[in-house]
Amino acid sequence: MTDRAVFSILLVDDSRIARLTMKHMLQSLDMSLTLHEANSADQAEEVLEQVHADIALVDFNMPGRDGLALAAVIAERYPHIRMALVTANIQDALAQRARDLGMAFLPKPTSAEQLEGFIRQDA
Amino acid sequence: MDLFSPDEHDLIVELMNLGVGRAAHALSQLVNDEVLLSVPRLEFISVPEAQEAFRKDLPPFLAGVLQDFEGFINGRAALLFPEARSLELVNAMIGEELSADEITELEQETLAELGNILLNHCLATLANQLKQQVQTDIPRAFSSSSSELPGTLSLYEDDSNNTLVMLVQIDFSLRHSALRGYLAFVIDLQSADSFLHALREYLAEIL
Amino acid sequence: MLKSSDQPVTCLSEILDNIDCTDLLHSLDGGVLLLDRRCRIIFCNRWMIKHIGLQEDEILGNTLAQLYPGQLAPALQDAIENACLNRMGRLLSYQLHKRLLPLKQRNPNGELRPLHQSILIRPLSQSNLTLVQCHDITNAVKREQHLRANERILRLERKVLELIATGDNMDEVLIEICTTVENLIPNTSCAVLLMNEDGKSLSVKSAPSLPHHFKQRQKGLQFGPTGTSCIQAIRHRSLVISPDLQNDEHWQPLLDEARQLDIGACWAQPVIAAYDEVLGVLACYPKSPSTPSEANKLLLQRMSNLTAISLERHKRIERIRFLAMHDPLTGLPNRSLLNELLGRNLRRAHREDNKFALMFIDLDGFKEINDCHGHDAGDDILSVLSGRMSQQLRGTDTCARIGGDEFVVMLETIATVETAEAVAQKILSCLNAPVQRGQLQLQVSASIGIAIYPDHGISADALLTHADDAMYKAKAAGKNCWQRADQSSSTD
Repeated sequence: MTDRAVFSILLVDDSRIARLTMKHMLQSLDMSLTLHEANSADQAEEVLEQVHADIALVDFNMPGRDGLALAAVIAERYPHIRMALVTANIQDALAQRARDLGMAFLPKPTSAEQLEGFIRQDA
Repeated sequence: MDLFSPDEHDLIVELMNLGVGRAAHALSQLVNDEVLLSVPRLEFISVPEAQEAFRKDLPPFLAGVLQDFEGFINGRAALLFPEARSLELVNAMIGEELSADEITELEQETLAELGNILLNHCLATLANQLKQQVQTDIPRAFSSSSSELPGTLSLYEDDSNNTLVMLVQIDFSLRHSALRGYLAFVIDLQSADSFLHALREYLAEIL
Repeated sequence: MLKSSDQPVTCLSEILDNIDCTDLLHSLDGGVLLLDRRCRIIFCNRWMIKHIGLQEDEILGNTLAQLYPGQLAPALQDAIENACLNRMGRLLSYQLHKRLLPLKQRNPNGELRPLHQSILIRPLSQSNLTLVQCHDITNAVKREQHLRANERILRLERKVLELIATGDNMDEVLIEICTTVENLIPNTSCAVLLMNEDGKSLSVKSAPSLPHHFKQRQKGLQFGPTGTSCIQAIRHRSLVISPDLQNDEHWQPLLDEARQLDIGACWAQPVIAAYDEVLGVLACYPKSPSTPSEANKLLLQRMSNLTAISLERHKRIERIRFLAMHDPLTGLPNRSLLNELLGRNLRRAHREDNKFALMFIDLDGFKEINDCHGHDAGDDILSVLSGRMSQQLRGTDTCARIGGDEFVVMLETIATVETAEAVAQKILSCLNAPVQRGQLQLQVSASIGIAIYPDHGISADALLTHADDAMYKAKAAGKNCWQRADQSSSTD
C-alpha cells in the first residue's frame, strides 16, 4: 500500500532493443524495481526457477513458443505473477486471448505511463 | 552489409515490427477481419547483392506497389508479391469467396492501397519513434518480372556507391490465406547518414 | 540562330506559360480539390462543384468534414488529416471503402444516384497544399460486376460440360443444371421435366430443391389453349413466363400446391434438341411473383441448351447400349443379352430351387420365302412373327433372336414341365398362322426343342445344347412340332 513498494519484474522479448527500451522506460518511473530479462520462453522459465518475480511483461512474437504459450505455463506454475502481453500485434483476437488468460494487453510502443498504470494496479 | 551495428540492426527490426503491426491493425479494421503481419527477416544488402537476390529468391513474376518517400531518409519503397497470388490476396481482403480469373483495374487499385497502408505505417513508425519527419508520395501498382525489377526500382549498376537496399520479408496471415511478400526499400546513401544518426541517438538514450 | 530542334521546346514552354492552370483544372473530367494545412478547401474545380451540389462560395474555406458533418468514413477523415498535416500520400480504393464522399449524379432518366469513387490524396512537395483527386469509377464497377458475373456463369457451365463429357450420368448432370440456375438466380427452385414416351405427357425428371412429392407428379399434355406454363412452353417452343401464379388463370387448379411448394411464379424454358425436337422443359420457379431479366432469360437459354446436350447424349448412349444388346430388325434381345439373362436366371433358379425352360425355335420354310419373295418379305415376316411370339409370353420371359431364323425363348420359371409344353404349342400355332403381306399370304412353321432346368442340365451350355438337339429331333420328326430334350422319339 506504499508508494515505495518493491516490484520484481521479468521482461521477456527476443529483441534486445525492445528489452532495453522497456528497461529505459521502467527506470524512469519513481518506483523501486528489480528487473530481470529473458530472450525466449525457455530462458524465461529458467530465470523464474532462480528468482522471484511479481510481474512479467511478455512479448507475443518470439521464435519457439510465443508469449501466450509462455503465459499459460506461468499462470499454472507461478499463479501469483501478474502478466501483461506487450506486443506490436494489435489485434482484437489476440487481445481477447490475452484477457482469457488473465493478462493485461499493452500495445507496443508502450509508454512509461502505461507501464506504471499496469504495475500499480493492485498497489 | 556492415553499415549498422547489431544493436542498430535490432532496433530497425523492432521498428519495422511496430510499423507492420500497426499496418495490420489498420487493415484488419478496414476489412473487418483478422489480418496478421510479421517480419521474419530483414537485411541490408548492396546493389549487386540486391539484383542477385531478386533473381534468386523472388518469384519470377511479381505484382507490386511502388511508393517514393523523402525526409530523414529518401528513396523508393516497393511491396512485392507473387503475381499469381495477388488476386487471391485482394479477394481475401475484400471478402470475395469466388475466385476470379483475371485481375481488373479495381483490384489493381485495391492492391495499390494495400501497399500504401503498409508502407505508410512502416515509414511513419520509423520516423515517429526516431523523432524524425518523413513524407510519402502516392502509390503506384505495377507488375514485373524479377529480372526487370532493378529497372523498376531505379536500381542501376552504377548506384553501388550511393544506394542502400533494405530487403524485408513480410508474412501475411489472413483468415483463409497465407502469403509471403517482400518490402524493398531503396535508400539514398546520403540520407542513410541521417538515418544512422537518428538510430544512434535513440540507442544512446536507452543503452 | 535558332536551330530547328530548339523550336518545339520553346513553343512548349510558351504554350505552358500561356495556359491558365485554373482553367485547365476546371476542364478536367474528375474532381480536384486543393486543401491547406488545416484541411480547408481553397480550390474546388467545376466537376466537384457540380457533384457536391453547392455553390462555390459555400464550399471554399470549409473542410470536407464541415461540408458533410458525420457523413465521412473515419478512414477518409484520417487519410485527409494525415496528408494535410503529416504529408503522407494516400490512395483510397473503391473495394476497401465502398462509401467515400457522398457525391451524387443524375442518370440519363433524371434520377439521382450515388457515385462510386476512388480518391487520391497527394501532398504537394513544394508547398503546404494537398491535392485531392476524385475519380468516378461507376463504369469500371459495372464492368467488373459484369465480368465477374460472366466468369461465374462460365465456370458453372464448364462444370456441367465436364460432367456431361466424363460419363453417362444424366441424373447428376440435371441436378447440377438445376443447382446452377438456383445459384445464379437467387430465391428460385428449378426443375427439369421430360416428355414421356407417349409424347402426351411430361414427368419431372429432376427437382433437387423441391420436395419429393413434386417429382411424383405427372402432368398431362393437353391440346388446346389451356395448360400451365410448362405445357405452353412446349407448344410454343419458346420461353413462357407466368409472373404471378396466384393471378394466372391457367394455374388456378394448382394454387394450393403452389403455395405449399412456396413458389410464386413460373418461367418455363423448352428444351429443344436437333431437328427442332422438344425434349422437355426447364422450369424455374421463383419464390415470389417476378419476371425474368434479360440476363435471367439468357441464362435459362444457356442451361436449357446444356440440358438438351445431356439428354441427347444420354439417349445416344442408351441407343448404342440397346443396339449392342438387341436385334435391330425385330428389337428382340440378341445373343449377348440372352447369355446375360440366361446366366442371371440360372443363378436365381439355383438359389430358389425352381424349374425354368429354354426353347430353341427354328422357322421351317423361311429360306424359301426369302428366295421366292425377296429379303424384304423375309424381314416383314420375321417382324410379325417375333411380335406374335412375344405376345404369348409373360413380362418376365424372354424371346431372343440369335440367328437368321433362329430364336430362343426362355420361360423364367415354370411350375411343371407341362406348362412349358403348353407354351410351346401356343407358339407353334401362332407361328403357323399365315402372314398377310399385301396381296400375298405367306406362311411358315417352326420346329421347337425344349430343355428344362435342372432336368436337362444345370449350365447354360448344357441347356442350350440339349434344346438345340431337341429342335433337330423335331425337324427330323417332320417339323411343325415341338420335342422335349429327354424324349426318345417322335412328338407326343
